[in-house]
Amino acid sequence: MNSALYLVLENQITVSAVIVLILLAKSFISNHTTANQRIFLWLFLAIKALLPFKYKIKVIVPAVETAETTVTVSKNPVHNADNTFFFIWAIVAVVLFILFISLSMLYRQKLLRLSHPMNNPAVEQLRDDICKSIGVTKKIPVLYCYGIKSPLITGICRPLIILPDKNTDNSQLEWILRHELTHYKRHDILLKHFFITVALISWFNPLIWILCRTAFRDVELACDSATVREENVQNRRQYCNILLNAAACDPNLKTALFSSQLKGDAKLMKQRLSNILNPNSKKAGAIVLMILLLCVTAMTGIGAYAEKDTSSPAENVSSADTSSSTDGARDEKTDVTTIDLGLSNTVEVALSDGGYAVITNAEVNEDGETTYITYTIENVNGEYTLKRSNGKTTQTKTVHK
Amino acid sequence: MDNEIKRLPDSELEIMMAIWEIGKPVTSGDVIKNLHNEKKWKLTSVLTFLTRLVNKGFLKCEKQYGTNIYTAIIDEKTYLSQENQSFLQRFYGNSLKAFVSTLVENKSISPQELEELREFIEKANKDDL
Repeated sequence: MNSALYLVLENQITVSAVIVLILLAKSFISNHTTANQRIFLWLFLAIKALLPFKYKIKVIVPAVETAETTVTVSKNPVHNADNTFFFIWAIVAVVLFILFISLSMLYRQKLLRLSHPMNNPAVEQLRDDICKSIGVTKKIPVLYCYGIKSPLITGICRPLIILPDKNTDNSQLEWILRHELTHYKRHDILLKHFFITVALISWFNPLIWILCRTAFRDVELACDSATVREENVQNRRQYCNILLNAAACDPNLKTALFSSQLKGDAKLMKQRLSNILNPNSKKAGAIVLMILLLCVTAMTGIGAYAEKDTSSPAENVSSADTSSSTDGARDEKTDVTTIDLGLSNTVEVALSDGGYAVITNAEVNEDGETTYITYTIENVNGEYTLKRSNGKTTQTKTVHK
Repeated sequence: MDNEIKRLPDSELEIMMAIWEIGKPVTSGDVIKNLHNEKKWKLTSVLTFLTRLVNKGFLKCEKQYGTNIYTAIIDEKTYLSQENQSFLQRFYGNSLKAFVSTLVENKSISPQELEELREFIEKANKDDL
């Protein structure tokens, strides 16, 4: 199988297995970690899903070239089913991506078309005060739009806060702005876009989509916690009621995909309220998180797999001790087949499926005549074919895995 | 008379947004000045749109001192809350609803559930934090 495809699939499977295990332990994890801590976990898994890393550390010593031995290694193009899978994956991923980006842009355009600038100095002052207190330097415009049902913040580069009504009473407005600006401060919209990106790339894997949705929930919960962090019971209760007010509106505009909105269904809402009203229930959270991360690391293998590219000549050839057998001996640990050509050096070459290596050795006989012997090693579907040619005759030997 | 309000095409909607934003009777000149950002429509286009809006029953047109004054008859809230339903459908289309719904949890909360949640808030605060 194409080694790149294998690597990606293996990676997806390990990450998926970890996700399943986490889902099984869901209530334990929820009870012992905060949403903020869990976001690190989801982020870790998402990044891991993007970047296949392997356990094994394999270092290839730079080639020591002897006077008589030169090696060229090249890779034949492989036409088999793996390329088809790759193309299908790539085309669907690209299409989904284009869809996602264009929908995001259209959505923003439409929203702007239906919005008016707030143009209210009191509101702007409130926004500035809140920005100052939570540490946001950017002046985020506040607009209103009768086409949405609850407040939202949208946009990564040019963020906007949009309210559903021109006139909201001040206490509600303060909480709303605090919540949305906290989303901005925590880079939640960027985070959500990242998770969606990973999910689009792994479009074939429903577990990644589940990861994405779980991450979205925790992002919202963590924002709630951050919004009310310094607040007393009464204020938290007030905040909760405002959340319920927003949720009571008929949710018509499904905007939560591209922005962050104050809303949710009953079960999620209860989770949020609980999270806001009982913040200190998870004391061992950091420890649990560390343990989880360690387990996840162990299971998915974060070691660097340093294998040199087979397409550059002379870089992936190393000299090693002579091996005893004339047939190829498979080294289980480093996944390399060693072929002893009976030369003064043993040449170790990493050949992927479909690749071949050419080794030319100059042999000087007793009369001082030089003959060039060419060894060609071909890897076809894991079977190595060794050809030895002195220019006049060619001997072929097949070395099995 | 409660007719179903017709959905406006984008250009006419732009005009109405400008008029609603101004908030009082306007001339065509006022409208042009108040259009969002880059709209560089010619006066003739704007006049066409205004006429269409009058015919559709969104605006009332009166002549005052030789110029036409337009007043909004249908208010913004009424229009946009109705437009919203089709906006959702138009925006996502039915085929994408499945895709979006896996990521967005937007089932509305019933009044009964709301009541229970409000009680939950009240009860949860018997002990101080």
